[in-house]
Amino acid sequence: MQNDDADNGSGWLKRFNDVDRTADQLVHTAQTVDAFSTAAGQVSDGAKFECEPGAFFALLHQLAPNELKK
Amino acid sequence: MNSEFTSLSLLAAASALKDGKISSVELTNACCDRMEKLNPVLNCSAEILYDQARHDALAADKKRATSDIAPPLLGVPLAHKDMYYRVGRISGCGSKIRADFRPDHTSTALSRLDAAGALDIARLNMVEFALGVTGHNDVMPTPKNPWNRDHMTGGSSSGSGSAVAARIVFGALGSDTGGSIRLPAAACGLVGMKPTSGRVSRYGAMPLSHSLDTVGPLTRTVKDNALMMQAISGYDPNDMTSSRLPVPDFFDGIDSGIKGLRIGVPESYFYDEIDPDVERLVRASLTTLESLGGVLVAVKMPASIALTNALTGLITTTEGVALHGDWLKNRWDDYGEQTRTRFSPGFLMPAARYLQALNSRAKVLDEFSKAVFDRVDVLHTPVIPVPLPTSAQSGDASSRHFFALTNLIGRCTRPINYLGLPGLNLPCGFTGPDLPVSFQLVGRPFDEKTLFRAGQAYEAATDWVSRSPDI
Repeated sequence: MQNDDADNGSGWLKRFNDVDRTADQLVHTAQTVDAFSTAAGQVSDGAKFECEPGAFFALLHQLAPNELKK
Repeated sequence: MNSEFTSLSLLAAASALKDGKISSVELTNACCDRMEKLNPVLNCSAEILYDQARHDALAADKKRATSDIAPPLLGVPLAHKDMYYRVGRISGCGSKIRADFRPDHTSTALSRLDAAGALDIARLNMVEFALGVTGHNDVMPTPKNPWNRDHMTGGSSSGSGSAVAARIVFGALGSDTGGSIRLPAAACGLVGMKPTSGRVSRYGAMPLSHSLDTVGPLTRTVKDNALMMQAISGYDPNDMTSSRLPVPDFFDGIDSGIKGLRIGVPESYFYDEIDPDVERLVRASLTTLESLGGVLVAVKMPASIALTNALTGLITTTEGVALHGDWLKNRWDDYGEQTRTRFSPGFLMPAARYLQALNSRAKVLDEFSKAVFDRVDVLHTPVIPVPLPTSAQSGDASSRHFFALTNLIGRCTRPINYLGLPGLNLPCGFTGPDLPVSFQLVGRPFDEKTLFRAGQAYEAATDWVSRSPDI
């Protein structure tokens, strides 16, 4: 599975980034991508359809101490 | 005389200048002499700016002699991570690729420190392009930890940590995308502030990840840190992400103690992989805070916190690869192996996953805020959950343990970047042969002031900051 990912990753890297990396060189990278991707999939499970990155900064300000918002 | 003055806190040095006990020229000479003496051992500086430093020190002394109003840092020698642009001056970013880069503008953080009267006496070494938690740099000199040169400095603000801990300068800017201020502060026994996203302008600071990058200081004391933060914080029209919220007076109430302050102690995640010796020291700091009137409250972490280390890595590597794309394609061999290894996941990340990670920040922050800040004022956590690894242990990117070790080192810091919250690193002891240990206080968005107050109370009740490395 992970070797297949590395094989695929090697081709993808060459095709879209013009970077040469062998499958062997990408084994750890493929594992990391898998972990990162799984986390993104899990965190977005059940996420609101209406969401965008700007909502984060709005919430940061909403949660700021009230004395700064007067 | 040199070490007598360079060992002062930033606040005490500023006070000595104000009271005429020392001139800026004398203080700057002392710092430059110490830098020259120790840099061959510590590798903390990429360039010592003798002539400019002495010119500026002379000007500071003249200004003080001829003006009734002196800015708060007038004549105080500082130095900064070599990624803060100053027009016309090399900003090497810890790299071969930018070894000759001369920016056409000056960073807002440096401009504001200039306006506060501070001197900028050196460019400090750093991890290549600020991507790495251990402090290693494969293509430029790797700074050494003044406490124990066989062990890592932490990164990526490695030179900042080394130079401030070695009593060469009184404070330094670092940058923090996943822990790069707090980790070298922890490894070098310093105070390090990662501010709220948007509190300090990033204009003219080398970008790594525009969603997560923050600018902040490493210092030897809490008040020194507050002084630097006061100078650099606030809205900047040149940085569209900087906040228009006013900056409070960080010194207002800083000595008023923490009686009744509710301090959250996480029940899960942050202590899951901690070493027993580190845990003993971190929990002892809780006992101290409680003895000062803090109220300890066990806090259950939301499940999503366990994903945030990976999500920070995902965003950093993807945005980093987008910025470095041309160089990674055309100058692959000019990057160090650690940097190439760390960037590589960004090449292969599906775009939808990257956007899911960004889109989910509000949801995760909301969950965290309800779990934590509905119940407490600050959260207390470990920083580096293991005794400092040796440079050899943490420097081999080809090792199959490399990703596991770097994930572990950043485990307690990266979530705070994903959440955009302020985090203050505070020293709380040593393990083994002079290996510093720290804890972190995490605050509400834009509530750095409470962190400084709590940090000051802890610092005043302990003697960690009075210790200095034997170098």
